[in-house]
Order: sequence, then C-alpha cells, then structure tokens
Amino acid sequence: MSTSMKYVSFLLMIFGWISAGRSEFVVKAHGYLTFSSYVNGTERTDKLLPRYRAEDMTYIDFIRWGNLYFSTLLGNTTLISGSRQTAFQMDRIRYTLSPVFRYEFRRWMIRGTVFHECIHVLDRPEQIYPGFRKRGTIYWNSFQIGLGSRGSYYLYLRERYSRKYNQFVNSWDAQINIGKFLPAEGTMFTGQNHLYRYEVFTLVRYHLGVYNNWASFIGINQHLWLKSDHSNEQTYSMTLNLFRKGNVNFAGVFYTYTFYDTFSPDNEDGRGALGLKILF
Amino acid sequence: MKQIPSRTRRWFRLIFPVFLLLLLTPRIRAELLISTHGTITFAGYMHGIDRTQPRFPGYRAEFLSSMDIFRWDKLVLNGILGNTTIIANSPTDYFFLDRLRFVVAPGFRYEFPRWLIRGAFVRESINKIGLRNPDQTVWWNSFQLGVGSRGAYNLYLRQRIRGIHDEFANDWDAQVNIGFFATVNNKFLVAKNHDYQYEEFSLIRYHIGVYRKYAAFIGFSQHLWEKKDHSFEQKVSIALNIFRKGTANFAGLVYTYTLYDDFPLDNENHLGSLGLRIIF
Repeated sequence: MSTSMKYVSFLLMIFGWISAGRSEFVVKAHGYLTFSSYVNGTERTDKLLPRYRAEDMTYIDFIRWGNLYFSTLLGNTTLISGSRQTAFQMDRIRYTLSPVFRYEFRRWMIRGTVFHECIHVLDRPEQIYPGFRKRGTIYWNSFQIGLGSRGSYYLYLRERYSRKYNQFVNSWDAQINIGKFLPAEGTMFTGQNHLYRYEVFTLVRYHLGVYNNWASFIGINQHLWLKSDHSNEQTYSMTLNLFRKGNVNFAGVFYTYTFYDTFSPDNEDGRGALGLKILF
Repeated sequence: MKQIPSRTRRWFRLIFPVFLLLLLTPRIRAELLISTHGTITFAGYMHGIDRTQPRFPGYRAEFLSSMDIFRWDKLVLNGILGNTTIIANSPTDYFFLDRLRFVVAPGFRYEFPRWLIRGAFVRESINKIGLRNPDQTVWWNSFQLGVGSRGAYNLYLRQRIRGIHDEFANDWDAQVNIGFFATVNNKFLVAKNHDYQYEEFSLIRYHIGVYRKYAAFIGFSQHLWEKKDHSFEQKVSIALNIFRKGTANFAGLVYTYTLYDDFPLDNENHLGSLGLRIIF
C-alpha cells in the first residue's frame, strides 16, 4: 500500500470513528494563550538575550461518552530572543501533539495522555546535544496520568469563579501527574536526544478572591524529571494571576518567577516573566 | 535603588494600556468578550509531488486562532495568533520540519446583519526550522482591509450551516480583501527580505448542502501580490469540504488543489492535499 493510500485510510478511519457510535460528537476548543516578557533575571548567552515567550495550548474535545471525554492537545511555545539589531529573533519552538482523555467526577477529574513534544531551533542548525551522537531535534513521548480537583485545570477555572462576587475566596486546588517516557531510540514513536525516564509534576493553586469582575489566584508549579543515568532535573516556579472575567472567557496579567530550574532543554532559572494570558 | 532596565520599562508601557483598557471596560460601555475561535488543519500532500528532489512536500499543519476581546455595539476588536508548519518528506526523513510561518495580527471587524468589514495589521515571519538561515528570515507588515458576506468567514460558517437540515443549499458567499505592505525598519517592526507592495485576496464559497449532520461546500481562493517592480505573483486554489456538525463546533475533511501558484515563499503549484480541519 502506498504512503498516500495509508494516509487516506488513516483519515477515513478517524472520520468514520468520529461519525459512528452513540457518543456525542462535541468539537469544543478550550485552552490558553499567553505572551510574556522576561523582566528580570535574564543573561545574554550566545549573542542572544531571552526576551519573550508566546504559548498556545488548545484542547479539542471530540467525543464524549457520559463523563468520559476524548480530546487532542495541540500546542506550541515559541521562545523569542533579541539582539542588538532586532527586538524579535525567533529562537526555538516547542510543539505538542497529544491524544488526551479525561474522566470527570463532581469535584475531581482524572486525565491521561500520550504526551508528544519536540523542540526545534529556528534559523540555526540543530545542534549535537551533550552526550548524544546524532545531530537533531529533541523529542519525547511520555505516557502521563494525573488526578486533580477541577479548579486546578483551566477548563474549570471559569466555572470556579463564575458565581463569586466581592469575596475573599481563600480556597485551594491541586493536581498531581506522573509520566513514563519511552526510551529515546531515535524512531518517530519513541524519542530522540534525551535521557528522561519518569516525570512527576504538580500544581497547587491558592484562590485569593474576587473583587467586582477581577479574580486573583496564585499557582505553585513543580516538575521533576528522572533520567536513565539516575540523575534528575527539576523546576519550581510561582505565578501571581490577576484576571478579569469576560462575557465568554477570562483575560488578565500574570507574573511568573522561576525559583529553581535545572531542566536543560528550556531553562528559566531565576527569571521573572510578566505577561498577558487569555483563557478560553 | 536599582534602575529598571529600559526594555522592562518598554514592556510595561506596552502591557499597561491593555491592563488599563481591561480596567476601564465598564466605564467606556464596552463589552469584554474574550471569545476564541479559529481553525486547525493537518493536511498531507497527495499528488503533484516532485519526488526527484532530496526533500519534497510532505505535510502542512496550520493553526489559526482569533480572539475577540472587546465589543462596542457592532465593532469588535480582536487579535489573531497563528502559525503554519511546512513539513517536508524525504526517503530517509518521514517528517522533516522545514519552515514556520508565524502570524500576529491585531485587528477589528464591523458587523452588519449579512455582511462584515474587517481590518488587521498583519505581522508575519517565515523562519527556517533547524537550518542555518543567516539574515534570510522574511518579515512583513501588511495593513489589510476587507469586506464579505458573513458565511465567507469561518466564524459565521457554523451559524450559516446550523440552520440548514437535509437540503440542497445552492448558495454563495464571498469576501474580498486588499493589503498594503508597510516599509518599516526599526528594532521592533522589521520588514525585510521581500519586495511586496500591495496584495489582494478573495474567497468565493459555494454551499452545496447539508445531509443529516454532514455539510458540504466548495471554496475558491485567490491571492495576488504586487511587487515594487510592478510584477505580480499569484496563487489560485480550490477546496472541497465535507464537515460533520458537532455539539459545539465542526470537524471534517478538506481536499485542496492549487491550480496555479508562483508565490516562491510557500509554493504549492499543482499540489493536491487531503487533510482534517477543525473549525472552533
């Protein structure tokens, strides 16, 4: 069978799948868009100064069977640097393409994904990463599963605040996720140029309160990667959020400070970023 | 006291008016919407491919999201954020990420009952992925203005089709747009590596009909660029669409054939592609 025929068969299979059965065909998008600028802690490296970060994460809910949803996560994060000549020099892009499921309980939910992510450099040759022989991009596939209270996911944050007016909320939400990476064997379905084996990442969110249409909350994020050589990398950051409730969704400003970061592919150690975020 | 770096001050200057606008929204009687809509497409080239080249056209992933931020009566202020990844194929590399087109476009639309006028300041760059591209990155800034019937825009396509059930629609929609490329060259708004001056682009959409939850329509697209030396480049394509209506939005299959294309930066001359598209 030719590649084209395989591709057509694949598309028809997906199309047939979404058209059949007693499930509800939803096609609902939700996620967030951010654009932020590093305002402190940046250091000029390789003639480039890390400056901006544009992030777009969109979940598309396709199918629903009762409380079970099947979705796709499509996302990209563009890391933008600057130099003496230009304010915007595209540096790297992180792509995410992952099938996702979630099962919703009244106050909690379980979410699982085969998280595929790749990191490419822009307008420069791909490098040889320390400890690897093959020049090229980094990519990984990680089987992730997590559990959390609804208010710790952006999808339900609107719901969390929709009926709150002029009050000190003083409540907490949290989520915890674990992941197992496929070994980086250099094939499309495994990974390349990384040594990660397992990951654990959490979020704790403290809801401060609502004044008129303004909502304020604080998030503390942690991510730990365990590598095949038994070393680890980790990131800790804190985000202050001030959001205005819109008629449909939310938009606001946030400040993120990364306390500690040893994650080598996208390091933000000691940096502070101020940005705009839209939740949809 | 430590002096705030000038770049930080500039960023504050940029972010502060947006914050102020969010703050003053109730006083200026504007409605804060924060509503997101757009399209996501993944298409594979099926025919017309010259496989004698070391790398030949493989796939195309397109993500375009538009955020409606404010509404004053019939005037909506919005912003578009999008990227198109052009993926090549070779006998050894199944997915070779070749180029990235990145778009940021603040804009507006003014809605009439059946028509709308839209305008945008489109800032686009075309970057090479993973390859050295010394000073060859294309940047342009185009002021665009257009008019069209509502059904010619994906935002209103849902509305247009939702009201039709099991009938031959036999109806037309159209839009036409013009653009002027700004010659700017400062640190923030660079225009380089192109010699375009004006552009004109249009879409004619023929609605075939709706059978059960499936809608079919055909789109004819045309794009003309006039260069500084008064020569022209153009692209003409046709797209056949079959979409399934979901509870919230649409998803379906799109076959596109490019009848003529001499636009060198992203050429699809005589290429036929089949893809999945989500309209949200």
